[in-house]
This record gives sequence, C-alpha cells and structure tokens, in this order.
Amino acid sequence: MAMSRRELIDAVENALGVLTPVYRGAAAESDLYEAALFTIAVEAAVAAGGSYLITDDGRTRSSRLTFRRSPGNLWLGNFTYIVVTFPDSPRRLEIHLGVYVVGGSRVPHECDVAVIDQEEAERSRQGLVHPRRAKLVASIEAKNYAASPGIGVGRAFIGLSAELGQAKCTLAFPARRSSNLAALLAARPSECFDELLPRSPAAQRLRSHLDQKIRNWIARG
Amino acid sequence: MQESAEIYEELIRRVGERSDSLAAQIREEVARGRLVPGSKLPEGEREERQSRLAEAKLGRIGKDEMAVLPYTGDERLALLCQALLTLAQTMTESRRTLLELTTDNDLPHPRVLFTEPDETDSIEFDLPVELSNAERALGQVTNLLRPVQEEVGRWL
Repeated sequence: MAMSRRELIDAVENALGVLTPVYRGAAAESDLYEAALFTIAVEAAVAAGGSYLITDDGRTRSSRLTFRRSPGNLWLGNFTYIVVTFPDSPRRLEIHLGVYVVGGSRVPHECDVAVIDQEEAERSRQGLVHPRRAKLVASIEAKNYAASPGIGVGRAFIGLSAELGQAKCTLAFPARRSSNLAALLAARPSECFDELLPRSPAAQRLRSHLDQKIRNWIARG
Repeated sequence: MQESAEIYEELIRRVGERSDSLAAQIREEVARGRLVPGSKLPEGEREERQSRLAEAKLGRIGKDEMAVLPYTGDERLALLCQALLTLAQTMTESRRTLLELTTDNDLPHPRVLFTEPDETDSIEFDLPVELSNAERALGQVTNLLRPVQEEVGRWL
C-alpha cells in the first residue's frame, strides 16, 4: 500500500484546509455558478448571430455585475441583464438571472437563467406582471452539486419543465449524474447537462443547445 | 484498500465540519447506491440474491428489474475525493468565466455583487483576487488528492 491510512486522511484533510478559505459558502458558490451559466446563455446568443449589451437599465452599459441573491420579480431592482439584438431580425432577447416566470398553472416559478423575448420583458416592467411561459425562449435550472443530485432534484425539474415547457428547460450541474437520475431524465424532452463546468465539453453542448433554441425562435419570428 | 469504508466515515465527518451541504450531497449519493439492471449484477452478488429469493419462494430477479449495488469503501472514498475536486474546479471556472464577462465588455469594475433588491444580505466578489485564490487552491487540491486517487485505484 503506497499510502498509509494516516497519510490518506491527512491528504484529504489538507485539501479541505486549502479549500476552506476560498470557499464562500454554499449559497454564494451557487450564486456564482448560476451567473457562470448565465454567461453560457450569452455566448449562445452570440453564436446565434446576436450582439449584446450588458446593462442594468436597458440603455447603458453596466459598470459592474449586479445580480439577485434570491429569485425576484423581473421589474424590481437595478440588476444586470443582457439585451441581444440580431442583424437580420427585428426580434430582441433579454437574458436574466433569477427571475420568476409564470407557468402553465399560473404560478410563478424561478428561472435561474431565463432567455426571454424582449417585448415580454418590457411588458413585465411596464405592467409589473411576470413574464409568461409562452414568451420564454429557454431556461436553465442550475444545481451547484459536487456529487450527483438525487431523484428529488430530478422530480422537481420534471415538474418545473411541465410548468414552463419541457423543450425549453435544461438542468445543469457540475457533478457526474448518477445512474438513477440519468434513467429518470433520459427519455424526456428536457435536457440534462451533467459535468457542466464553464469551458467544459458539457458547456459547449449546452451553448449549442441554446444557440439552436434561439435560432429557432428567430426563424419563427 | 482495507479499511476504506472506515476512512470514508472519518473523512465525510470532517467534510461535514467544513461544509454541511457538501457532506450531505456526498452522503446522499452514497446512500442511494448504484442503480443497475438485474442482469448486470455481479455474478456472485446475483447468485446470492437469487438464492435468498428461491429460499423464500419469491421468484427470480428478472432481466428488466432494477437492483441497487451499494458503493464499496473504495468507491465511497473515490466519490468523496471527486466531489472535492469538482468543487474546486467549479469555484475556479465560475470565477474565471465571470471575470472574462467583465473584461470582454470593458466593465470598469471587475466585480460581481449578489444582493437583494433592498441591498440587504449582499456579497461581493473581487473577481481577479478571487480567481487567483481559487486557481491556487485548485492546484494544491489536485496535487494533494492525486496520490489518493492512485491509492483508491478505481474512479467512478
């Protein structure tokens, strides 16, 4: 045996000691992960031919990134979002982090990342009403799990997808998915991207998936 | 490795002292075990289960049935170490991606603020500093856990 029991425990303990001062807590690390997925949606919009403005007010460029700590109403607060324009289409998109969208049962649900028709986003701001699922182009449900999420997460995602539109919803997390979760989600129109770290092959697949969703939305224009 | 299940228990307790949520994720995965078709059970395991069923006159394990295989001690250790690596990688790459978003757009402040609309409960990240710290931690964690990976021998 190359390592003694003591050495093995010390190695893992030292790794924990290295991570602890950098780790900012589960909630803050989840916030960062969701924001990282937000950037993948932005990249997808660019891949679909879009140009974007990163903004807090819809007109001027942000000076820094400001995101919601917890889900909120799209119209409330001065948070950073993305406005995307396309050269050959009058249609515009907005990409938001942590906003409510109304599902089929008329109940608002949090979208960690929401890609929304800009007219609908503007309607939300003017009317103080939640965006409707019909105007949702795509959404990402983020789970910052270092070990595979369980069946409960899969069931909740299936419920969310049924509310918001199965083909529009994707689930993403950094861990490798368990066989249980894979079996649960494999036969459904909603997509699950495991081992999703920014710049990973899974991130590229998600970007391509969203790119196609956006292209289809433009074509339906 | 002998005693790997005991070592796992000691280590997961230590993970829990630092991060309840991370320990809970790993514990849940371990508790679930691996879902496999009955036909894919290892031969000895399958025979043992068939024998118990036969003794109780409860039929046989069919090809379309699903069975659960508990993780071995080595596999539990592997899961724990992989989770720590995944955590370190996620921390690093999330920070890197957000820093790139600020630099690609020439934002004057390479920072991200997470806040409530009334600005209570805020947390701010100075992204260049945070990325540098996370990269250093990832390098160290990778070096520390590599020998453990080799020791455990089989990754999931």
